[in-house]
Amino acid sequence: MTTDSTESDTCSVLLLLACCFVPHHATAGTIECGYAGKGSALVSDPAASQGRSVAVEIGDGGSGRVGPWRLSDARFSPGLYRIGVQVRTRFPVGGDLDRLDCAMLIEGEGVSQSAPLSWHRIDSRKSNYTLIEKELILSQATDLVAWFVWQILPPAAEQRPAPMWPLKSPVVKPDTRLQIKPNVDENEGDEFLDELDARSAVPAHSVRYPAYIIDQISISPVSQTVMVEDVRPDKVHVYPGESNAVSATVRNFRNRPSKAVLRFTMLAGLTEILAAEETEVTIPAKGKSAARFEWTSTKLEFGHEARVEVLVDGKVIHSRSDTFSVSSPIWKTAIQGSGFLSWHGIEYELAPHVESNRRNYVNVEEAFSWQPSSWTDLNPTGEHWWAGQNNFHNSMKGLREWISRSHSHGIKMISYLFPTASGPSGLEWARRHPLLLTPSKVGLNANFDIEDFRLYPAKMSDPALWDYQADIWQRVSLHRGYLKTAVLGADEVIRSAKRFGWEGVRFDGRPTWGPMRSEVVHREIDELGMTDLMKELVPEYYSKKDGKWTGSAISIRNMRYMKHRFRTELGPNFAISSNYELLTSTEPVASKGMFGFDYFRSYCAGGSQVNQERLRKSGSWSSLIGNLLTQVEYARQAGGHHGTQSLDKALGRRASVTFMNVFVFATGSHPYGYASVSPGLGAYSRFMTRYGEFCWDLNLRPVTPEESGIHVTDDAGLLWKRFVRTRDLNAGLKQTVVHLISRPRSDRVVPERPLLLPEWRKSVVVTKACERAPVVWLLSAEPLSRADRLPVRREGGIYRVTIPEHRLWSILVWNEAAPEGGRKP
Amino acid sequence: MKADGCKADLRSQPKRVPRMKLLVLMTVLVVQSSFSWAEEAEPTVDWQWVPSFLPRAFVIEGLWTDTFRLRESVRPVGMPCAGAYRATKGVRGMLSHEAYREYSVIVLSNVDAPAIGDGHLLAIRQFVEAGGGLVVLGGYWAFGRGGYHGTPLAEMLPVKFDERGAIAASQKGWVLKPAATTDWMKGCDFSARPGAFHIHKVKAKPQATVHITAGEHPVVVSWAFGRGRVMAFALTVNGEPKADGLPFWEWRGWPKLLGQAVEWAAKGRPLHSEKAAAKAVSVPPGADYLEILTGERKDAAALRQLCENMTSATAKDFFDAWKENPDRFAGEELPALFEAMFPFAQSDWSAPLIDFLSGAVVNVSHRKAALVLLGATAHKDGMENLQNALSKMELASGASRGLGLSKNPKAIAPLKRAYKEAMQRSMSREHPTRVDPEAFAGDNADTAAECCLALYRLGSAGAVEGLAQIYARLHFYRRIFRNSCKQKKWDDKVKHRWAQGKRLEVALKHLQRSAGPIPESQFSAFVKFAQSVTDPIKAEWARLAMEQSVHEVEADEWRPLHAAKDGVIARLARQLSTLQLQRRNK
Repeated sequence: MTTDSTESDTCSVLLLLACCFVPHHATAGTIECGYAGKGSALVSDPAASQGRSVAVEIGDGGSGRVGPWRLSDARFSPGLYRIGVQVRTRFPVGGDLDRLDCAMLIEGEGVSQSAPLSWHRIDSRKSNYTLIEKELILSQATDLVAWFVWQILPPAAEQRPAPMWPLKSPVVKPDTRLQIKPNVDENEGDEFLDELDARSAVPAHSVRYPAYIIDQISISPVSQTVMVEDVRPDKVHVYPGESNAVSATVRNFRNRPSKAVLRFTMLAGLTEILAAEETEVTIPAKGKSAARFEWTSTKLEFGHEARVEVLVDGKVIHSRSDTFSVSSPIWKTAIQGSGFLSWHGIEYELAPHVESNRRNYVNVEEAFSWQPSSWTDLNPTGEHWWAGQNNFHNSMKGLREWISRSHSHGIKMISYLFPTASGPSGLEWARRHPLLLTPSKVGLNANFDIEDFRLYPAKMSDPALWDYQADIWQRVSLHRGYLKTAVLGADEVIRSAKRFGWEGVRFDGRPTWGPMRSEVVHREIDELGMTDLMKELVPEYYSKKDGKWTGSAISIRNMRYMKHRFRTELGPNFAISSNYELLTSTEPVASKGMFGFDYFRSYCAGGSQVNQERLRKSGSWSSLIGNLLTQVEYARQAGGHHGTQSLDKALGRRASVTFMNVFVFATGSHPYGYASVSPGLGAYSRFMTRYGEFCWDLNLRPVTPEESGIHVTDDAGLLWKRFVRTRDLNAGLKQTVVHLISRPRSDRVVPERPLLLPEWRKSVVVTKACERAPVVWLLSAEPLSRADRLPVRREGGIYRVTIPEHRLWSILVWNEAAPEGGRKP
Repeated sequence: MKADGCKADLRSQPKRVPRMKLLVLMTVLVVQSSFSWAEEAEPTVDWQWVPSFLPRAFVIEGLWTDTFRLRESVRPVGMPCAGAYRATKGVRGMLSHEAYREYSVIVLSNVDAPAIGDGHLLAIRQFVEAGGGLVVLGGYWAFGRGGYHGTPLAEMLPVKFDERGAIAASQKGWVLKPAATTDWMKGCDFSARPGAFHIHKVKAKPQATVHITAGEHPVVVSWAFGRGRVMAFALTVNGEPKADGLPFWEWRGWPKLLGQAVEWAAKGRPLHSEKAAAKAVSVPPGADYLEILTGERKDAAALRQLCENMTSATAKDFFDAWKENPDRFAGEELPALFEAMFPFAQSDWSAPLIDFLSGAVVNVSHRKAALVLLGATAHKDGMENLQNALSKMELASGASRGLGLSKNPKAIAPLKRAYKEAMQRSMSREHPTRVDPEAFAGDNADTAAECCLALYRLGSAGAVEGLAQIYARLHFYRRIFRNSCKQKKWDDKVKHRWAQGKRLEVALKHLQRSAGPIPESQFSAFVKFAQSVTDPIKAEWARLAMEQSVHEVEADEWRPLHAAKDGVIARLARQLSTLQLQRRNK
């Protein structure tokens, strides 16, 4: 196991169900939830641990709070605990579930912590309860109570107002609750009657209103002595050879100082241990101690896990770990955040934004359209400016703070780039250099608004007017047929990168062009004094002196030139991405026939990223998967990485976002602009930071199920056949990776009815024909990132493993002839 | 509408045509208009110029117009300048075809023909044929590059150019040289060797006159077209000269040259200044006027005409009718009627108005209108009501206007206070020294503007500058609001801003209408202000005040402004003096 491990505790406290009105039913380590007043009802349910549970009705608007359930008659000692909630849901078909937020709120003296119970993390099988767990730290002795809280968010501004549930949800009527008529005085109030009625359990199937059905809340101590409170590598991503020290904080719950040993281990791959170190600490009474472990990355790339265990008297009490990735370029392990920020008035959001990126393992972020002119001015001089593209307000203070905060976490900052001269400075540049602009049928290829320009100085000088800027993209397109344009772009990027610390650039528009007359091309090369350089960079085209250079030749020249400049002046880690707009056909040839696959190959070479905006508009999962598989493979073959921009239609829809994440990762692509990677069904971004190599390594080549020998028994509802890949490792080791993904209930990204996640499956059997006995690992992010070695059974030349529980996405890694799986240290 | 492009009278009213027939007709017209410009553009209209004191320029500004320094070239020659501009979707702020008659010259500055549109191109052609001037400045959206080929512009321009719009470029550039025969260029010293670096490759047409060449290239060429004058500048403001090169647009002589060129082109259009100075002839009311005023007979057009031609008699009749039964006048017309009546307000109207205001009048606009009229009665009894209303935000603008009409100097102090309060309410919370446009637009802007106007009318010291200041402020924020509405998403915020901008526009138009006549007590302050004003927006307000004072101010009184810093004010002052003298001589 590579997830957090905990002390194997023998003194679990058995807790008693406590509710407001019904007697407690004590069960070891667990309380059963009972009737808790209005909005709750007891149900009899054979699937519940004691045959009974409580239904909490979810209204059709606003919020609600049901409880409290007292977690113990006794007070809890200070310590680390694990709260577990057994829960299932019952919703009418068609509910607008994405607006529903539920949680279990644990309250006590000095503690108020909620455990999210999002519906999409709960198995939708009718007879199954899902255990959702959460750690709880108690710093003082306290009583604890639990509340179930729910909230229905209003529809997003752009959404049409719609009811939460398809029909008005009925209230919990006495006739559905009442099975046994209680013997009560008829003169008693109705409210009291209702309460009595609801104490009588009704069958779960008779619950015909939207409800969460809660079986048990368990609470068990993990440690009441010491714990590892936090482990954090300095950076979420480092380049090979870069240091990344790990900080750890340990906490002592006891009233006296504790001596403990901290054991630091750096893990990689499936089994590799890259470093191990121990240090002794004395933790003050009721206090904390910090330790720091220096570490420098090797050439080994992809996911790393820094683990810290705390030992007392030689016994591991508790451990915690965190992950980060090592790669060059960043695209190899990229989890890209949303850089669509405009700073006017929201500088105060920078710190939480970057913290949120770190929390979600975002390791690269693009500053989208931040610059005064998209290509010709990446070096603003004033404190404030509006971006040339779309007039976003920016400030030097905000930009520097964003970059510096991100860098402190190892989050790489990428500059936006678009081949236009934009904004006032860009159009002034354009005025002086009209020959480097793109002509149009009439005028130049441009967009501008004279009045908006005229108002710029007045608006800029008055902060009260900053909010009155229109979102106009003032621009003139640049003529990329000329090398001078590439020179200018490279100059600006390099100067800006040296000044601000950009670690890469994304071409939102490519520096590509159509055919140019050879005479013009050579005249310009001579004029720029680049004869020798061009001979070196484009040897296959340079000798062409008559006729025309093709679009590919011009485009390749531009790209190689810019890459050359970046590599030599900014270093080998400088990352290049390009919004490629691959056609969704099987040919990765960009539109208009200006250039072809040779440019694509040349662009990808060396690990550039093919950033794909076109997929944003995907409406069906099948088309998304098909396109992703094709494009990722083309990029892989050319040595490039693939990035997918978030699907417009998926955003704000939890099930759709979950599938989007899974398909992007499982196909080997990288996310871009995913603001909602967490919380999902699984801890996908942490998982991919740790185990991304099994999706992203360019050495993983697709194979057919027949070639691989893999077979999934009873694969109805599972996608896997197009998700089998293999790679050869050191010492003749062969690794086969197969992804099993549950098929979405609808092929539409936004189906007519809200998309629910598929039911979970038990005991999925997978076999593989192997020459030698394999070691098989199950990798999953659901609910937490983990890698478990599975027992393998041999049946002739066929080896069989069973996935105990498959939620949405499981990865099996078959290592053949490997003693312990994975790479040798 | 494309149908404007037909050879029929552009002013003709559309007739009722069945929809299908209309579609077919429009299609035919569009097709025709695409292929047969020359045939269609015959001058068939009887063109009536709107009388004007000064020649006015209408500029359609494209990219880099500011580098041409167009507006700063035109104003010094004494030509008020209005304009439209190139924006994302075509040209914004184009004139109605009728409004071309108010101008003397149209300047196209690096604007492409498709953006102007077929209908307007034909209207421009008719304008020039009738005597209007046309100046075309070059650039990458002009001549062949601007899609002029095959449009009326190609016919009107004195130069030939190819369809592709070839532009010659040189970093060294070509030095501009004037032709010896040119007579309209005065005081332009070419010895500094101003140069051009990107120029349109054009050829002068046979009857055209070349005024300036750049190397061998003709770059400033003119001719007459119909009764009008056309001048083409085949120059662009593009290119980056070498260190020792002097771009013509940075040359000291350039604004003078361009201003004179525009002035020359404007000369074909008669101004009819004497008509502009003539008093409007009022239309006597018909026999049924009281029925219309009281709303017994609904006739919006007749009501408007009555308001425009209100006399003391009709005002009194209406007031008596209103006094008898104010409840009859609950409609939207009452404010307009009161507005028309206030010049004729009589002292004895105050009592009924005070009664009305002390009653339960819910309609705020009615209350405001009554306050204005109450102030206009100049009766001392009204002062208390007006001062009380001044403290109520929703009524403050009406009250301040009324106080301005009260002729009571005691109103000055409360008006100054009310102005200060309105501006304090307009300040930004986030940036306390700045005006928050959102807080300003609306009641506060109305109150501030009315207070300034009232102080101006009451002869308060500093009121001229204050009124010009608030005029410029309204003008600026109206632009801000309008521009901020150019959003991709037309959401509630944008709609609100649009409405705010509209309200500012109403306030601005009110100030424009009320600029004159200049109160006698303010005249010397006005002259002092107008002599030195350089801000073109404030100067525009001063121009309006002067034009609206033509009957009240004697010829000699304008004399101190003959040498005002602002070219328009100076020229207008000279023109008004001349007109007054001519009238006196008659």
